[in-house]
Amino acid sequence: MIPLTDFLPLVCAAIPRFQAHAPNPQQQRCIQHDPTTPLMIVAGPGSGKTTVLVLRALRLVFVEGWMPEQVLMTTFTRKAADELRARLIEWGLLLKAHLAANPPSGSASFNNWLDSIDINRFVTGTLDSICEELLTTFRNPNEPVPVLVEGFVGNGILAQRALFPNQAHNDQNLAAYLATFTRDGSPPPNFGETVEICRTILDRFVHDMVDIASFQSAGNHPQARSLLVAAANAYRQYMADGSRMDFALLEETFLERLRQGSLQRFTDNVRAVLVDEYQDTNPLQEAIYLTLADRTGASLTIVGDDDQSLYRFRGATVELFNDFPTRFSTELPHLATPQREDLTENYRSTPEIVEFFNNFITNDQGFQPARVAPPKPTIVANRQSNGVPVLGLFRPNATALADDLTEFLIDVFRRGGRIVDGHTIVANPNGGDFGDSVLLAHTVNEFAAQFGATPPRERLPKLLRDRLAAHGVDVFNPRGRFLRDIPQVQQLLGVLLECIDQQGQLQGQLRLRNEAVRHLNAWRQAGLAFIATNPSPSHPHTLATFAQSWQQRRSQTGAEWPNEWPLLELCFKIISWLPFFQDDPEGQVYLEAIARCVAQGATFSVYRSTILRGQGVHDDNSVKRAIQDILAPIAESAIEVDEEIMPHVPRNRFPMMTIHQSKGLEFPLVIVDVSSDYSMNHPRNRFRRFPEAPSSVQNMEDDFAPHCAIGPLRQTRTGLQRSFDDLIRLYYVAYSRPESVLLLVGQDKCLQHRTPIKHVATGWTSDGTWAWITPVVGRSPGLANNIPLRLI
Amino acid sequence: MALSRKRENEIVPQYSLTGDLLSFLRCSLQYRYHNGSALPPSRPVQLWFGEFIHGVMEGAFRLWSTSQPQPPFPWPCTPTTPRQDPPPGRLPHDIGTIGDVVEGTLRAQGKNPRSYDTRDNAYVRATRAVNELGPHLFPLIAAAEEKVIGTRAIPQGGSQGPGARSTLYELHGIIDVVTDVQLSGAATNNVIRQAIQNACPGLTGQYEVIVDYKGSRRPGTNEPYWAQGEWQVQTYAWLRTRQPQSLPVVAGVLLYVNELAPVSSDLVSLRREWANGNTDVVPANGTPDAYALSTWRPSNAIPNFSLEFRLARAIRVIPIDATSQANATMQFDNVVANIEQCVSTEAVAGAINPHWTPCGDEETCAACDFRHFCRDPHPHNGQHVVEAPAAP
Repeated sequence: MIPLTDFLPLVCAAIPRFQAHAPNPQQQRCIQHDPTTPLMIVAGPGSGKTTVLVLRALRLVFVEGWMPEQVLMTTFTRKAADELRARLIEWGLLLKAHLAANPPSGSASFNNWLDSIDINRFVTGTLDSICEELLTTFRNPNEPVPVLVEGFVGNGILAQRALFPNQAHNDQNLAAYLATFTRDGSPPPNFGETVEICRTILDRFVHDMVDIASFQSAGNHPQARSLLVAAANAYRQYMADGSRMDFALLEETFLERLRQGSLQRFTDNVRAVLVDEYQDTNPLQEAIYLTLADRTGASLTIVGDDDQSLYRFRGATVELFNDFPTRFSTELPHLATPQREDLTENYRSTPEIVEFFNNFITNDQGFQPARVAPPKPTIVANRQSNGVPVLGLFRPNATALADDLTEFLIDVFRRGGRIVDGHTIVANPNGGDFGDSVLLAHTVNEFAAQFGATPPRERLPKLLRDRLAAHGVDVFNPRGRFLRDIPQVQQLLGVLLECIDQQGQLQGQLRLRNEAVRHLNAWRQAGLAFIATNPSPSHPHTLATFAQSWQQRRSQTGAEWPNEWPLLELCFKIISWLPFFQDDPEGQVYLEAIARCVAQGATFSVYRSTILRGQGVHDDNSVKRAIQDILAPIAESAIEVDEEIMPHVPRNRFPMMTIHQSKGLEFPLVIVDVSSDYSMNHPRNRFRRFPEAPSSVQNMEDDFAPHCAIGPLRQTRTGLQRSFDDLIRLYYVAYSRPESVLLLVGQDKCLQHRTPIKHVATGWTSDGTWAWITPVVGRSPGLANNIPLRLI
Repeated sequence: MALSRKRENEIVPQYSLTGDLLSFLRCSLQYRYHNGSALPPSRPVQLWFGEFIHGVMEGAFRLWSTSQPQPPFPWPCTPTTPRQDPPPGRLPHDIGTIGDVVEGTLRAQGKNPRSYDTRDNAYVRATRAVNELGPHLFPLIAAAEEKVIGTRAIPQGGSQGPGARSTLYELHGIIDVVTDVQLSGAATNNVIRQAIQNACPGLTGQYEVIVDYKGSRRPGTNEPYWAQGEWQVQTYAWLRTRQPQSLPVVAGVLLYVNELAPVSSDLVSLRREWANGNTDVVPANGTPDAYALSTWRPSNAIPNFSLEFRLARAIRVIPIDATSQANATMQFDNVVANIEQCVSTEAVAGAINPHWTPCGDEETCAACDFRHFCRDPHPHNGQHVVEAPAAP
């Protein structure tokens, strides 16, 4: 081991990036903090929290002499976990090599100790990935390996094994209760919505550690509550019988095993636990961390930023972070009281951007009690100014906005730049491209919701896609369109549908929801139209004859038609006619989602995603199940794409993502769509900008509050206050992503001095006042007169 | 004001020895689809068989090592009849009991045997593996399913494109069995000990031997899988030595489970390899095994080969030293460099096909889900014309 006083000099000597810029005093305090006292780090955006976490972990190894395998580090996403691990390995190996080359004198055993350090053995990952691995590794003899099921499978099981058997699909009491948790307060319009809300409720049972008996005995909606409890029990039983777990049950099982002591071989070895993004922890996860600390006596370090808590809808509870010292000491009075350190130096953004988001987060006095106390000091910019103020581009409508935003982007990335206040904003001459920018929005859907047969309205992402395409620029927006709406997906699935079920003869015998039927039929039309183009290859036969052979179950090879045929194999054959799925990285994202859906269907669908032949009634039934269990969920948008399978997003594409997705990311140029949708003060979109009532998420929190320990703490803020809090945090995250340029975009009606369109993102506060205007004498101007943006 | 370039994600790419590197060697384009894009195979039959054998062997060892007294070999095998309840009164160490647990896990993952015959055959092989290898192997096991990790440098230079993600990579593996062997401690009739002694004469002291189950036959010495099997255990040995408190690894043992209960296609291959001198274990001339093999034809019943011959075919010992380890790890370093180059060139070009070269053997291509649009399948002569696939 080395003395603590030598650690930071070692870091600066061994790791090139710290030779010019050593950790700042705040970071040093976090790194050097006594490991016997729990540490809470409140880390503002861009303040180097990952750096601090990694150096603290390495300090525990090189100074305290703990082995890497004794240090557990969790973070929120796979991507963040990969980055954390990359730094641990790179920096850890550099420290080790430096020490090996410069050993302290007089210590013969030093090299042996150094050799014994295996940097790869830090335990890192998301909490879920670590739970899964530990439950697999430390299971009992003859206990099966737990099988983790994803949302689509979990919902399929929930519907088939729990909700249908309990008559949830035609229970009016349940519908009345669930109406509390829909956006407009009306009962779920279809069974798909019912399943979605029931799924959220079942997850909440687990995440919030709800007292089920208390929930069931609540005074209102007794029949609905009983039905939900019965469904939850049936779901649990089915999952347990197949050793299946969803993410909530995985964490719950892990906590149970921890408490039982059956993970002792693991806990005996843990000396330190470091948790990133603690502001998005839920009560179950808190219980896991506190139990770990209790069972192991491990040194606990948590890092987070209450202002960046985004995941309330998944059960995240920012109060667990804000109240961490108190909660820890109450729960574990025999352990030292946590101490707090703040990281407030921002290394990411220009002073203009930092000032903008600092003002934004302090704008609403009603929000301040929701923040960590005592207040975190103001974030301080560490980067130099580039002279560019925070920009605004607002136009009378979305079309004009898309036109001018496209011109701005083309100027910056394809022409000589755009001059603003004498500064030319231009792509980096050394390979700068569209990948250096991003469009962030609450949602990046390319179409608005469809009502009836009217074609859906094109939103800003779609308008931008079309305009950029005219300049030869593609966008990367895999979440912008539902899988079901992507033309190539429609062609693939349409051909597949026509192959297995010509003209929907069997589909017509199914009781499918209208939404599914509408899209299945649209796919069929797209598939038939595609077949009619006679796509290549057309030798030795055409796609049309291939489809006909399938429809007649007559083999084109002369062999007998097989008894069963995997749907996935048919899918892979059809893509022979669709090069998009063979060669385009974005096509792979969509194909993966479809293939995953078919493969996972095999885990719960009766005919295991195969099409039977020569087995009587089962032939037709296998087609029906394939449509009902696999294709209908895609048609109802139950399947999410996973763009993380792409190792790189091509840099010449313009990326768009939701603000939630951007958490932890940074871009040189960030465009935030604050109001491209809002041309009027429509009640339907108020929840996204200036809520008048608690959202469905807050309603569920309030309904559950009497039945779980976390309830009272959450209710220190009203449901409406929590709705505002979430919006403020959302746009704070968006505004703190850019490095050099922040550009807000939207419709200019939001900027009218007397606009009726109130929006948290444009400086409105929850009490109805607006910071972007100042009082005027006489007639008010058209445009707000205190806008903190340089409008272009 | 020139915008900066977006910082690339810091990443030390992680590779699994079997899941990534051996898959890439099998066919880089197939690897791109299955591993890069996470496209599942349409018929995960081979996955099922391999994982079933591994699962039964692991389950059997767990049971054997925690039971008091240990159930004597041979263990019975009464598989559950499909769609029926398990036979009443079946013993916990019955291979059928262990197999039920493994099958249940695989089923929940969507992995099922191709047919009842496949399933029956898997039980036969698993039972032989437990009863014929278990008595020798289980007493030697110090750790099962041992996870090993190490970091290595990605070779720089010609094979790496300009946009490489990292100079390092992290290599992961799971060693099926680590044995903690003292030669004097194992019974003299222990066939694994004997095989190790024969392959590595002069060993003394305490050391480790790595064992890996293979749900396949012993490959011909002229097949790429022969060399790749050796690289695999050599690299496992290197990974094992990264772990603190590990003993020197002197040998790797590959257990080709299918050799314990060969089927017709195995014997066809064996006879061909025997004739061409492409296998290292053949029956001695004049023995009943030799007669049985030389006179066998595909229409005949599978001969009852002697246990000695079947074990000799099943057990392959690979001596390990620093030189052989360095050679094997270098082979895999180059594989990683090739993968990283493919990743980089694809990222620059925004297209997949031109940058991942199809290279599967005949068997791999015949079973490949992407064969219908592959531009250059086996025999990879550049003459292939993509044609429309046939229904079904």
